[in-house]
Amino acid sequence: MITENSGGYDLVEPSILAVYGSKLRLAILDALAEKPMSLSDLRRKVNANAPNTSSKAKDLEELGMVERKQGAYELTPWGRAVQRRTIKTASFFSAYEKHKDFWESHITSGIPPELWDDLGDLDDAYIIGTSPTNVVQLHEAFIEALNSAKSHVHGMTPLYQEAYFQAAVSWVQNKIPAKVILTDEILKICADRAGKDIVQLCDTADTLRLFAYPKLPVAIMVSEASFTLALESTGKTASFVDMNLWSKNQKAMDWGIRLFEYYKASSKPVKLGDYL
Amino acid sequence: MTLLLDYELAEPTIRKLFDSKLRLAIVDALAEKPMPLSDLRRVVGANAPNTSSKAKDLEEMGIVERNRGQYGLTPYGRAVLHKSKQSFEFYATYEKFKEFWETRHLEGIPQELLLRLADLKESTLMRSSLTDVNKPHDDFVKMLYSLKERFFGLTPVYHSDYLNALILKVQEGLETNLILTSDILSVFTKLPDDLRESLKKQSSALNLWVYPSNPHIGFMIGDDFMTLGLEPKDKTTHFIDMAVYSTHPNAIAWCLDLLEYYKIRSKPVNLGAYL
Amino acid sequence: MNLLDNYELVESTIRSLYDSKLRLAILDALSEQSMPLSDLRRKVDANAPNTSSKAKDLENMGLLTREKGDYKLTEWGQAVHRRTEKSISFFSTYEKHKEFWNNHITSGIPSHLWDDLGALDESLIVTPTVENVIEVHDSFKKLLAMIKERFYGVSPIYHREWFDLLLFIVENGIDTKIVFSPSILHVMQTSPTKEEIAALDKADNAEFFLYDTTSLDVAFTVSETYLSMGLRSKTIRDQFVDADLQSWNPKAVDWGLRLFEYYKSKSKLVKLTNYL
Repeated sequence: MITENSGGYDLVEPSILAVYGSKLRLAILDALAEKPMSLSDLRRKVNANAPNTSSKAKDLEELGMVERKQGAYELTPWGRAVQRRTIKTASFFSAYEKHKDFWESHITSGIPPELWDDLGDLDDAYIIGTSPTNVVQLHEAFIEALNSAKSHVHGMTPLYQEAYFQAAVSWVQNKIPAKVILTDEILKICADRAGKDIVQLCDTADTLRLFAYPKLPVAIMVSEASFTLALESTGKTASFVDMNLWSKNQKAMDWGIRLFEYYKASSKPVKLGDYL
Repeated sequence: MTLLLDYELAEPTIRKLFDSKLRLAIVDALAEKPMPLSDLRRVVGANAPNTSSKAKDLEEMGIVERNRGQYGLTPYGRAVLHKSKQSFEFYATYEKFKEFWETRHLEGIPQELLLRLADLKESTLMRSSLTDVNKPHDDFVKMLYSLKERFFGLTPVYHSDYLNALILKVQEGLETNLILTSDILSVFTKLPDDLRESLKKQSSALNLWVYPSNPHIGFMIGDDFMTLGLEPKDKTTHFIDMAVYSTHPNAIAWCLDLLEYYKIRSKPVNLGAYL
Repeated sequence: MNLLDNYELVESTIRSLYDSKLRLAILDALSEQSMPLSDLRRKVDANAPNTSSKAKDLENMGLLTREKGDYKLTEWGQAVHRRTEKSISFFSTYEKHKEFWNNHITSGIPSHLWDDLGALDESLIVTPTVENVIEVHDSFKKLLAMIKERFYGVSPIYHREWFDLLLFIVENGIDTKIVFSPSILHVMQTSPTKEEIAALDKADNAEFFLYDTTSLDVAFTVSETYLSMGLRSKTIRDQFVDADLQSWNPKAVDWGLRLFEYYKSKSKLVKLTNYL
């Protein structure tokens, strides 16, 4: 507890404020994370004058984050750890800030704490929404992503769309490994739509793994090329399909897979035939 | 200021003398007795022309003289040899245990004994190692148990092993002259009852003093050896990772002088009344 | 620089979070349960106007909401709270034992464990004292004697008394895994007897490993209840026992296990008799 530890916070307040309170100090930590450098190189890299740079570097020396060896500044192991932490912290807050509208207008209870903690992994993500000049922009982007998956797919959704179903069937036909979590409701719809032959095809394909989860508050799709996240909106309109978060960054894709695995852990493996 | 002025005068001599290992070897060789060139060059391991040329330099400096075909040291030369030896031993003793001196505080050694650092030349450095992490402590306890006659010294550190050894040895008639710090004295007052009682019983046989502040040093003189510990600069191991140890009479004498230095500055304590 | 681009965006958020102990305290209080202003201000020990003003700041940052007169953290607020706790433990663990970290070589701790330094937040440093000049060694022996279920360790140092305790622990059937440096295997040729070494090799509850890639700069033991760790001194050659970090916090034990796994993965399983 912070308050119990406010002895704890008092102890670290100077360090935390010293690190986060000065862009120049952060820049120095960041520059030295790449490699040690002399004052002249350092000040050029952080774009400041020599006295200022050496003064801020001295602050970091006193905090045990930087040391001088043979005329060059370098990070101590502690300094390295602090620098990594500042990046994680900055990405963490940044991933929220950048898409504040997305997070605040949708229900986020479907994201477990451990994935909230790693929100920074979504730092490079971007939003695709509906736009006045293309009201189905989002839908089109999604279908394209579904159809261009080549080596693997992880997906989960509480929605049904003919195009999603077609894409899934083509994965089975092309033997693209796919793991899909659906609600019972959607599974029933798919089974009815598929007909006996396609159901047979899906259930015997060893590249498809189907799971059932009672109620999905989150929709995601991760392929080898991209990751997208959709959430139920807090308003009453167009849930899930008003705005999606997208990323082509590996960290985001891994985050997506972890979210998928979180739901898979409490899902039931099923066969489409169970729903006929 | 005078240091540099004197150096200007002395510089030629110093340079000429110390710049050439062969010249030094000649001076050293002639310390015992005069000898002809043939013997001299064999002792210093050089050829005749070289040896006679360097000996001539020393002649010009007034350090060596030729008498009836023999080279020998002048009285001045004898003094120069003596001074050089002293200097070298002083620096060599420092270099030999550089790791020790450089990581410790030297303030506990009074200036007059620091000047006599060379008395510790014939010593070994006991240090803990990766494969024997408490070696100095373990060796020290063994040394305590092997004592028969005396245990003199100054100790700023404590371990129950030391106290147990001390009590036993005092019962066997060991003579003690021990200077403690006030920290150690207060540890004695907080001992478990049985240990305190044993100590109290022996207290009349103990000669104890207390040194009023942190001496930054610890040392001990046993029957035929001395050991010296200094406080590490980074205050971590409290002395016990490294110690200088010697059985040489010079080192023991040095340490006894160190004991006297501290005794004068300490107050006798009646342990029995204290406990 | 990645860090700085993100940082401009989030700078004011991070600073306003960390430069007010009251805001942190509010976050902390609400992390456990929602409460009305009256309870909140009492919990954080501040007056009502101040509390409600700082709470409003947090609301503007999306960290809390007001529901029917109660203040409540949002999911994002909970995530931010967890992050600030982690950051504070992280910095605090360093500050609390600054001398320990500064006086020793810390490169033996891999970066992923530096990042979790906060796990060692509740630890103490044992050093020689006036009452016991070899406190570290004696304390270590006492801890070894308390082990009941697990003795994992990495050791570049040796003392005959520890070896005796190792024999005793292995004889009692306790799960034992020790990683040694080459010099320790070497000294075990001379100090213990052939029979003692053979007994260790024969025991099926004990495994021994050799680490000889780089210099071992850590010496530690992880039992089922504690972690005890020493680091190589910066100033004195081959010195490890001048200070010992000890913790009984399960998080620290877990951290220690991860550190053990790190070294074990870089070691090879050996039979001690092969080194005789």
